[in-house]
Amino acid sequence: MSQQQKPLTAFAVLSAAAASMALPVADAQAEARPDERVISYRNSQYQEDDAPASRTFNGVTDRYSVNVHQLGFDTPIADDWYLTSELQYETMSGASPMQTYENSDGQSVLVMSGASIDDTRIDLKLAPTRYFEQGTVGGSVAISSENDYQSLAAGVNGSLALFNDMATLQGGVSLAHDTLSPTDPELSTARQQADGATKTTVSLFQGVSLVLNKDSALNLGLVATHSSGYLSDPYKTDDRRPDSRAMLALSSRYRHYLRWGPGQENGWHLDARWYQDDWSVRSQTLTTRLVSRWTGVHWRFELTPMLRYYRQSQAAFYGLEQTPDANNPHSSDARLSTYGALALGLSSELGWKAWSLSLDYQTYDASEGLALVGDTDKETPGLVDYQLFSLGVSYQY
Amino acid sequence: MVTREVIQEVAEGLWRCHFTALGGPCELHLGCDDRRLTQQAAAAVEAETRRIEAKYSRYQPDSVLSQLNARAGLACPIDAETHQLLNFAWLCFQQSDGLFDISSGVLQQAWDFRQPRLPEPQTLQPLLRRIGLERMQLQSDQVQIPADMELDLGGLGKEYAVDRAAAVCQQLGIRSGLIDFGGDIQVLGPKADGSPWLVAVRNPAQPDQPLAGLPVYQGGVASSGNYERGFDLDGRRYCHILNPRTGYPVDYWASVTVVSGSALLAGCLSTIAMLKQATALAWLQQQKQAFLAVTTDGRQHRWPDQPSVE
Amino acid sequence: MNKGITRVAAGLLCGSLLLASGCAQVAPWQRGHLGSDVMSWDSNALKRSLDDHIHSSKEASSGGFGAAGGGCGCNG
Repeated sequence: MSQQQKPLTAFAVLSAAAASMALPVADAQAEARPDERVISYRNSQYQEDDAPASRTFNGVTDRYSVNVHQLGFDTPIADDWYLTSELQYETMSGASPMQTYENSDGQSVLVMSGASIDDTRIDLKLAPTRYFEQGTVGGSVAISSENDYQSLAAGVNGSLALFNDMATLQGGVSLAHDTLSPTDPELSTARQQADGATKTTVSLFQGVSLVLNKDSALNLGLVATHSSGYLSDPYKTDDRRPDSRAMLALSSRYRHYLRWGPGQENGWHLDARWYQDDWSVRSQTLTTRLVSRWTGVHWRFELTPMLRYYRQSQAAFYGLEQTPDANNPHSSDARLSTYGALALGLSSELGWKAWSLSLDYQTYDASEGLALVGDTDKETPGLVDYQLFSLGVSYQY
Repeated sequence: MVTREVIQEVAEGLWRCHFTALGGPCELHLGCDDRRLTQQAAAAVEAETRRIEAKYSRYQPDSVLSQLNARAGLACPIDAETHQLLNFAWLCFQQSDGLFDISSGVLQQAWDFRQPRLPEPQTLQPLLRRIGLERMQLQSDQVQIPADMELDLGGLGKEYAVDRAAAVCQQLGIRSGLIDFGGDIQVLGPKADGSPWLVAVRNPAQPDQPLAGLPVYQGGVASSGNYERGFDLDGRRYCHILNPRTGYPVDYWASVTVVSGSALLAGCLSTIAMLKQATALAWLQQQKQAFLAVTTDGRQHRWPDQPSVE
Repeated sequence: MNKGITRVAAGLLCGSLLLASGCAQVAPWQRGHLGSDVMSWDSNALKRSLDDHIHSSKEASSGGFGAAGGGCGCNG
């Protein structure tokens, strides 16, 4: 070890560098495997506004609050392989609506579950991806476990870059198998019937990303999903849904680059989704964001205001009769009614060298009137408004 | 793409192809039995050369280089090829103790070599403050240069294009030939009969006369000389090779020619030698690469001793 | 429904490929802006997964934007 190393000559250093570059450099490089490892943690507080007391039958008005911990770890695992993983742990408490019915005065009355529900959910997702010169092939497995619900999901997906990367095709298949085990089965026959019931979901996805010009890009996607099995909500009174559901969602995402000054850049995002299913639910979603980023030598700051509008029209069997016909499908679940929702969000992220700190806020308001088109005169006090506040930190190495 | 290369068979199985790009003549001398393959190679080389020109020319506003300069002050995403070139430029900067600096192109604003006139110190000083590649932040997928900096790959781009042209020919299976882009040369392999290519080195005193012929079997040859651009004033030669610290032309060497593994290596070694002035001789000898250097007063230094055919 | 899906899928694929081949070529080295972080299709993975989860559990729709639905006990 005593022998002193001779300093390399300029030629040795430069020829080593030249040797690594003189030979063909592919000019059409599809997505390259990321090189860095990323560890991230995020804590979110989800809080629903109380249900309106004047429309609540039994005076229970406090609704869900959820505390979510998310831990993410992304790492290269072999030459062309990259693994993303996420562990999520959430604790929830509060009451949720059991039934909504229209009283003789034409007002909707909300029956809340009397006892506060306390539950935890743990969720693990693993998704390895193999990177090729012209595309990627990936898999995913996910497991989710709650006191009263177990879910297993797996999928494969791939992407292929075409025409000098002007277009990238994406496709995927996923399968989920869920098992229900409602708490306190002695409380209702629905809960007893649901115990051990299963639900199977198959989903097919196809999409394409297009480079429109040097400042804008478009992504189009189509997801067809089919669920079968026990699709009702055992905690709700007189909730009887069909045992199969076919869904189709068409989405489009547009990105446009804007720059307002040195060290500053912006991306304008416009996302739209059209959805319909054979329960006759139709929905439209429009989301827009403006990602503004300021970059210094060691730091960066990103601020993203977001606006999302969602509307849907009710399922064919949605109704507010207090005692509906037991032979027909029925649900008074507000999530199957005609309504609209407006969400506003502000996300910020401060990066310093390999560290990044993020702070996000989102407020969501749903109401019958926001459906704008096809709204009914039925009140839907079961709709939720919520606030979501998140704090995250991540480190890259 | 319109191909403009001219192809002629100058001897049996030896083709000469010619087109104009990168601001000068580009010539291929290819040893190949197949006319169609030669044509294919010439077209592919021209396409690759124009790709590099469009990507790294500082005269084209939408080139990668122009965009990097336009976005100075901002972290810019870069592809693997740009990263490799900038990384190579960075290594040249480091290995030359800051003399080889791709941010020194701004000095051209003070020197107009079409007129024999020296710049005022007050024009030179603010330009010198904008130079200094140590302020470039280079990562594998992004680069950030200070807002007042401007990069110019003029000192590496042509040599890189020659090496890429050689790679294109090699990929098509052509093993014999010589590629010459305005004096930056890469020899693919010896002539069909196994003999070396004779590369002429200009005489800096009389640039249209050869000083020597270097026999080269394989590898790159590049010269850097005070005859390329410059002017004479009061008995002194002011050439286009400028010291990034003083802003003034170097004046020790009239020309330095290096034979090395590739045109890119030969090019950066010869330019660094010009910039290193008198200390370049010992430095060149350490590199163990064949060179022929001529001082402004006409003395010749070479290594190895007999590499050339007079 | 299945026939409909197949047709829509085939139409989307063909239409988008036509659109792609009709677009002016943007050379890879001119796509610097498109590779910028402000242009990413999705927000960061943890944020996206929670947002999707909340929205699909409060609304009757799920899926879209490159992801399939399912996986939790929050029947919509």
